[in-house]
Amino acid sequence: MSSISSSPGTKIGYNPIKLILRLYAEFLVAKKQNNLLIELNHDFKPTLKHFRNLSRAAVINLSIIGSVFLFVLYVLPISFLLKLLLAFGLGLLITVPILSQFFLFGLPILAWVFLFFSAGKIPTSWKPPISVKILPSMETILYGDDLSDVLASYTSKPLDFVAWFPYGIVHFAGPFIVAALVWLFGPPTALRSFGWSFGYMNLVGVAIQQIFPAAPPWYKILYGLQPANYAMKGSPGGLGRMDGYFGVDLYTTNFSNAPVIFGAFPSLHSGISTMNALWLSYLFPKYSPCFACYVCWLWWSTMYLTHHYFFDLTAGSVLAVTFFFVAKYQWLPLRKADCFCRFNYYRLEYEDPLQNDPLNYEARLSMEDAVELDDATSSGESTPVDDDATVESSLFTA
Amino acid sequence: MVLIKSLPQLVLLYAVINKMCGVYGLLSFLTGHPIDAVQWVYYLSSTAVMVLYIQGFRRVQTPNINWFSLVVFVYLLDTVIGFLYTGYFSWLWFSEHDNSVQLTARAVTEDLSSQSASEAYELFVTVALTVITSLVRLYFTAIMLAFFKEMRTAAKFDARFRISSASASSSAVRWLNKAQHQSYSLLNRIV
Repeated sequence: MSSISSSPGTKIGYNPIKLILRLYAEFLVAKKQNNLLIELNHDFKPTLKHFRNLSRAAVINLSIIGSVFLFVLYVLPISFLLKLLLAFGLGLLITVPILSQFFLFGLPILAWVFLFFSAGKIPTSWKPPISVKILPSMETILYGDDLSDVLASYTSKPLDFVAWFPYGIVHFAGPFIVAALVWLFGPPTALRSFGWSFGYMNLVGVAIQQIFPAAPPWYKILYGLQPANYAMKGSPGGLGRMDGYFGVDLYTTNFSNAPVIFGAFPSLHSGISTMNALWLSYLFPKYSPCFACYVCWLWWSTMYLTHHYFFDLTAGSVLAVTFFFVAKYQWLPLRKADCFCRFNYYRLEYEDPLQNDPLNYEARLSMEDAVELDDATSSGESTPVDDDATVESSLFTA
Repeated sequence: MVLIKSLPQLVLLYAVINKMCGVYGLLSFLTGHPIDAVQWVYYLSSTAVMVLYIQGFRRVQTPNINWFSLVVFVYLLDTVIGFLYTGYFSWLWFSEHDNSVQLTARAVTEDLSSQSASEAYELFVTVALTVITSLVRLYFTAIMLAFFKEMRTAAKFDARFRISSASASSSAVRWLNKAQHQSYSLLNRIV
């Protein structure tokens, strides 16, 4: 055993070069020890092998995503040939092993992106009526005042920049960075849960936005509580001021022609930032207060830039929390504090709500018995990280 | 299989998210937006309650009855008082927004009016959402009470779940301990 893997808990700084070198060293060690968990599939030959013996959950998952794709293909105003090509491309993504090992679990995200960008092409006659008053009234009824109005009532140039940074920059780059971090520093297979929770949260969010179209606060500022219609253009809200400062049309055109204009509820800005924060807290629990602060910062910017009511923000965050916890308790392996990165995991352990329930005394009793049994039978099979926790938690290994 | 341990965790996290309104409401102090006395009290108490819920959320993996009797009791109180606030704020909203003005505006844009929600539809959804959120709140309160009850049962086997008195050093700790004891005995009377 090399000196590196024997001390996986050692502190290392934030020097990116050192980090990369450390990751590479851990990778080499894992390779040498033949860690099968981190093996990637390099096969190019399309196969349907991974679709055999699907669990019921997987079938439901694939049917939901399949129907979203079918709907999008039906709605898109492109030629039949192009639609066939698109379907063929999707087929390749999920059958060629080197791609499918990532994209199969990223399908919810792809479905969301497809649905979002084709939402503008859904025939107007299919769309439900747009509400303009429900959100402001819910905001007052549940939270006591027009909170979004309160925060947008004073604007200044420095504040514009403070609001723009999380809303216009981090929001778009964040998920990619978090996904990369989850892949590198989470246990193997954690990225699947990220794909599922992130994708479904957005998919459900966009679906709600279609079923329940509602006007954002900038609408109330521009038109009051007048009735809305689908011929109306979008507005960048407060982000329009940024275009003025930079002299570049970054947001005005994009937001005016956005595929979803009346999609105030729920706020996926809020949802995505909360999802990022939850995943980062899972990876680096020490810094979770910072991640929570980031969510608060983004909440403030969405209201300051007149893009969302407070009710949209709470709804978005609640969606994110719900999907994160479902993924966490269903599929997410436990993160071990003494594992530096994915290459340090030699076995995966899962959360067992029944065994871990602090109030369930009987379960805890039986677990203690089982641990002793386990200790006697499988202690010969030691792992690089040989402490008590591993033996105890080996019970939960799937 | 999300069990009794995970549910209070979620309920508390949802509660923290909702109670954040206190912090943003207090920001009106900075932006100069006028708010009335009831709103001041609401935002201040929301912020305080949020801090307590965060404490509860942090302890939910290794709960102890001192903290959780306080958290559960405040949750119960918060639900009851929350309903009163919801009633007051609904009245505030509906008394401020006269419907007759919008009706004339709607008549002008007849051709596109099918794309905008009717007054009745908006009112219906608003009321329905208010009722649904209230019901969810009641259900969450039931979960928290059940958690407390489970804990009291577990106290028969585990000393961690028995109410304890701090050998108080500072007056703040003593006061907190007193509040915990009070809520424990009050909760015992209810469930």
